Amino acid sequence: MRQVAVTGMGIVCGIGSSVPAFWRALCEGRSAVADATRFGTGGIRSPRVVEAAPFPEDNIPAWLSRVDKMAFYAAREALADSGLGKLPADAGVSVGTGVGGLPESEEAYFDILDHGRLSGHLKKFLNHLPATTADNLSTLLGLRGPRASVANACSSSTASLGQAWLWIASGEADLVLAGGADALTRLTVGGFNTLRVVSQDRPRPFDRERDGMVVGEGAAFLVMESLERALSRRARVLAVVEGYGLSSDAHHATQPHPEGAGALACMRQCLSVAGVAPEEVDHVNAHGTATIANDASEARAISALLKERASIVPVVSIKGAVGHCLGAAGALEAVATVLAIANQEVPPCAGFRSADSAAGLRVPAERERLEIRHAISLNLAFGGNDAALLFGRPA
Amino acid sequence: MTSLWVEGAGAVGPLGFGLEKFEAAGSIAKEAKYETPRLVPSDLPVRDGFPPAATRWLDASSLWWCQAASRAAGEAVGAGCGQVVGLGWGSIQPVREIESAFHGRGFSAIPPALFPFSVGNAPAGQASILLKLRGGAVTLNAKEAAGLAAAVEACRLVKAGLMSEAVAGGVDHLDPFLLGILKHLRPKGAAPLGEGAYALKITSSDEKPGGALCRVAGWSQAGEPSPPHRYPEIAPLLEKMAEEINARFGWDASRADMLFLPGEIPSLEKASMDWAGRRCPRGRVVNVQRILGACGASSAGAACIAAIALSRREAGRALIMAVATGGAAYALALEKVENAGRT
Repeated sequence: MRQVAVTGMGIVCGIGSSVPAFWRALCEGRSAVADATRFGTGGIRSPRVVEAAPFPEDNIPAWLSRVDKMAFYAAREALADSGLGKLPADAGVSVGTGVGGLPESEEAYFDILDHGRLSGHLKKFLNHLPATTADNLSTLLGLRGPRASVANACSSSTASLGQAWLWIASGEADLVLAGGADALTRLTVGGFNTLRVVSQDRPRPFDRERDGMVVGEGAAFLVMESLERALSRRARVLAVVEGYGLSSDAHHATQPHPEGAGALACMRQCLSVAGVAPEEVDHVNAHGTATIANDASEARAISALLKERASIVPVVSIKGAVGHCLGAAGALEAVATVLAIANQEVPPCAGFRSADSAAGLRVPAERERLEIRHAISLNLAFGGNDAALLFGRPA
Repeated sequence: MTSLWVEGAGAVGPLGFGLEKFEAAGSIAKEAKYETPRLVPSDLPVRDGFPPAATRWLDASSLWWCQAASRAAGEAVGAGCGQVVGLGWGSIQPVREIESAFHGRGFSAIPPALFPFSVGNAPAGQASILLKLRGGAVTLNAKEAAGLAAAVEACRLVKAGLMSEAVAGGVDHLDPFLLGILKHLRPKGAAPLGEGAYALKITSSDEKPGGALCRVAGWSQAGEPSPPHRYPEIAPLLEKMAEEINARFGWDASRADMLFLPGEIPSLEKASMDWAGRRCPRGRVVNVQRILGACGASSAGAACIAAIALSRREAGRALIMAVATGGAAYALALEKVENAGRT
């Protein structure tokens, strides 16, 4: 298997619309949780969401859906950051998304319900197809290599990055633009509210008094290429992607396995693929939705993996800062994990105040400098659809 | 050297649970009008084999995928068996029901039990629970090519050892509202729209397993920029993928004697036939979209039909290719084996 490097990143989310702004806000422990403004929230249990920060839409085609605009913006930043003058013609693209362009499809559907017909083109109704984002990026950036659109709900973009890693590691592609994007919709905000898992205030991952998650939106992309290629073009290597693991809880449609069996299995698999021992893991970027059930289950899995080092290794969730960006979550968290390795620094877990004694994890409330050799980014999804990535410091 | 094998095939489609009668169905399909969709028979017992309580809330996509996956997986499912599921248009029915409830009565009207089925990976999640598949799951959206995209990805994951074996394929449900939208977007003479679920069981071993239907000879994927609702020029894509399979796996497409190529609309069908005539002169071209109907799952149906035909020695080398609107393309090459197993 070939080694895979990360050479560029781009992001738009609640706390920033550039990688430097995102990292600064994350390290300062800022949160962008607020009441929704994009649509009315009358009758909802909790109107708390994270809307993406404004981003310049210059040179972004106006006909793109909101999610595709965010994706295109983040993808361009990643490409510029990678120092690639021109993309190779056989570059691939791998995108994870949960609901994609559903906001526009929702409007189109309501238009049909109200008027018996759609005032715009019928294709507007099909905006939500997850493949649309990868197709549009491919067209706008001239990408002629392998293409994938992953719809694994909340682990979508972890799997999209894993897929890109596999393409490059196995020699099927040399360079892939990989990431994820998701936009706020009535369906997701309302749906999580009906499950009674949305916070009335703000998410506090792994906190004793956590009361739930909030839905967020955003996009993040990473330029991944073979290490050999990156070195030959003297690219700056931010981190290496060392392994990928995936598993299924086979337990419940929405509830995680109480002992975190699936989460543990996919973390073990990504370490095994990389040939890295749990003792060499210095940081975990957790799924950490801040729901009672998720954090308890995930904490058990991380504790089982790290054993006695669970009380030493810093475990962070960024969802207290950016919300749960669903299909984009894995890509946003991968960016945070790579930045932690590149800066040898862990940001605070925004929203965290007091440790849940049952969790047994070390969750930093302040930023910390430390040596990070290897770090895991973990995401869990509906249906027990779990995925993990292992990132490492470049040699 | 380790090889990949197809050890099972399962279907829930317009032909019922089986695909063995696809030849006869093909002659019927020629008479079918393109406006008439090819639907899963409403009296097909798709809940058979599952506890009633476990399937009470399942939408059609989840139910069909569970049934097809169960039939492909057979009795012997390893603990590390994973899934790769391809969706053409995703879980439209639950999404539409939730949106209708919201539109009529606001957020409080959204049915909690329905929400988990609105996410794309609901079929994979339900199958992992019902069939105890713990080896991970990936759900891909690749529109018309979704089922084949999933089969190709499964081969990659099994070969890399990330899944010990996998159930892979596609599922699509033609929600009546969606049918109303899609039929206006299709040109005259197009293949009828379709629905269903088709799954293959892909395994890995040095020696041919007793139940192998055929061997996986190679795969490829490529892309050509094209607007999301438009097909690219397909001949260069087909050629590029055939070349790549030859370069990476030493499998010569010109020797294929059974071909499944894009044929959703007349212009694609003609381009496919022209390419096949030039590149694979000995190959018999089957337009699976006219038999099973055009949907994201059909290309997996093509792979299932190919595996069955190879196991019966009706063909020796099959090449399945699919191209989606937007320009994503996938190819899978299958070969016959001696003493093939069950279908």
